[in-house]
Amino acid sequence: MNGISLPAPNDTGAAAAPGWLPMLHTAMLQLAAALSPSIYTPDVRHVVASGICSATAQAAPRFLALAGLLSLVIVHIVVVTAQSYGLSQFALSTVIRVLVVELLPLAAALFVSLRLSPDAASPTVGPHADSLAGVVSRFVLVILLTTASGVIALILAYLSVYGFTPWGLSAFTRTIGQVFDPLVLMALALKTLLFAASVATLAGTARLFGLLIAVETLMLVAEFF
Amino acid sequence: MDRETAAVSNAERKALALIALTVLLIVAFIVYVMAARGVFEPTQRLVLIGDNSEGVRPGMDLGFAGFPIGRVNRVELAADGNVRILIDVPTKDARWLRTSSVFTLERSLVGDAHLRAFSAIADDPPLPPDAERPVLRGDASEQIPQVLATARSLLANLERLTAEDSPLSATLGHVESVTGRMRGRHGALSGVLGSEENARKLIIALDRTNNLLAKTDTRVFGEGGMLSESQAAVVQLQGLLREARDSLRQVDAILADAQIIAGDTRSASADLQALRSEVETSLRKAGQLIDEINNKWPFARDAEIRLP
Repeated sequence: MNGISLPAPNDTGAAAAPGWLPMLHTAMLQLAAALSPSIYTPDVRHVVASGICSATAQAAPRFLALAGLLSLVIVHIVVVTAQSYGLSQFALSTVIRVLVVELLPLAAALFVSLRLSPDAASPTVGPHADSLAGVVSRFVLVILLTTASGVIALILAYLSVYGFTPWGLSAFTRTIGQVFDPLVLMALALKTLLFAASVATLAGTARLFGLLIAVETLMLVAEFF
Repeated sequence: MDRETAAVSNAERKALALIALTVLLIVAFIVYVMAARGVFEPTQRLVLIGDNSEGVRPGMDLGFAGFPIGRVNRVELAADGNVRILIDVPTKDARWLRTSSVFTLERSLVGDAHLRAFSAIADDPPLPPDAERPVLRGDASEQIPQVLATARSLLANLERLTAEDSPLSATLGHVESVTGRMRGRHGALSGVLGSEENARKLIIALDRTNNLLAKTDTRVFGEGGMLSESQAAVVQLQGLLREARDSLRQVDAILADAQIIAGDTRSASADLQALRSEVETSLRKAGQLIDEINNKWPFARDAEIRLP
């Protein structure tokens, strides 16, 4: 593989409970391998593509349905509560900030990590190719689900607040512009990438959740302080 | 083998389509957000100058008649200590701003601050780019200490008013006693006059006054009353006056005659003067004659005066 060897899932230094550093080292190696174009031979590419397709087919419909339902419920609760307190002008920005920026990326990462553990990949070509397929498919899937669920949440929020009319689009666009300032946009992109990388490399380990919470906390600190 | 190859090519195409869809969604969202933040819109700069930028943050709207027509781009502190709020106003919305427009920064107790523009005179020239205008502040929370101080003094006054020995309490006690008396037989009259006895006396006095008025009506205005007699007297008096006027006219004529008589008397008086002088002359001569006779014998007398 042109000098780049893909570490196997069980190639970590300590067998039972590897420390943080060896685990992160292995994760970095997996990411480096996944980002190396030379590793994608036709066979590997086929396995990775199959992994992406099967993972998407396995997780995307359920997650998007659940995300849509969750978004609808939360949007309705927030909008009705805000209206009852006379603060309806803040409802939309609150919903967008809570759902799209905070909840849905975390939910997508948790869903992918729970649904697609490394054991779920079927060995057809070999352990290295399977491992690579799992890493890439989880990485792509977290980003895909975060993006798609965010878009669905935005559409549902618009429909909940303004109904089936195009005349609220101007105000909605302005609210989007106010919520997604450059800092929030960068924090969202960085958080999604870190979630995707964490889930891609550390899925199935107990330390993934600690890492996800650490990333979320870090992003909140960067966003609000 | 062909089936496997077909499956591979389908999987790769699907995977690429998924990744392309994801990238497309991300790019479209970023472009949408940039458009929402006005990146692709031509704008003109408006600078609002105030003394406090509290509540102002980049990205907040400048409202006009409830519609957002601008967005705060930056807030900076000038060298003279004033605050400069730099606002980007889209060129298509800048027509609402005039040279006479007024800008306010309002802060409420709940929620964000609001920047608002008011253009009262629509015929004024449009606001030029990079215009600097003062911003007026209306801050509800700044009034809280004053409101609290006023409320405290008001409560103290209220406490003083409602104390047990306060004038208001005594007044209310008096009002209670007065209203208590008003519940008696003579109603409000007892409350005003102080007792039932006084009210009863007043009512008796009123009755007597009514009787008196009835009698007076009979005596004065009735048949043969004082007023009718007075009218007859006035008629008689008018007759007397007419007679007096005639008498006076006669007196006037008499006086005219007297005046004529007086003129005659005056001329007669001038003749009397000459007669008087003649009489005096005659008397003086008679006196001289008597003196001469007295000096003659036998009427002569010793006129010598002898001293004792």
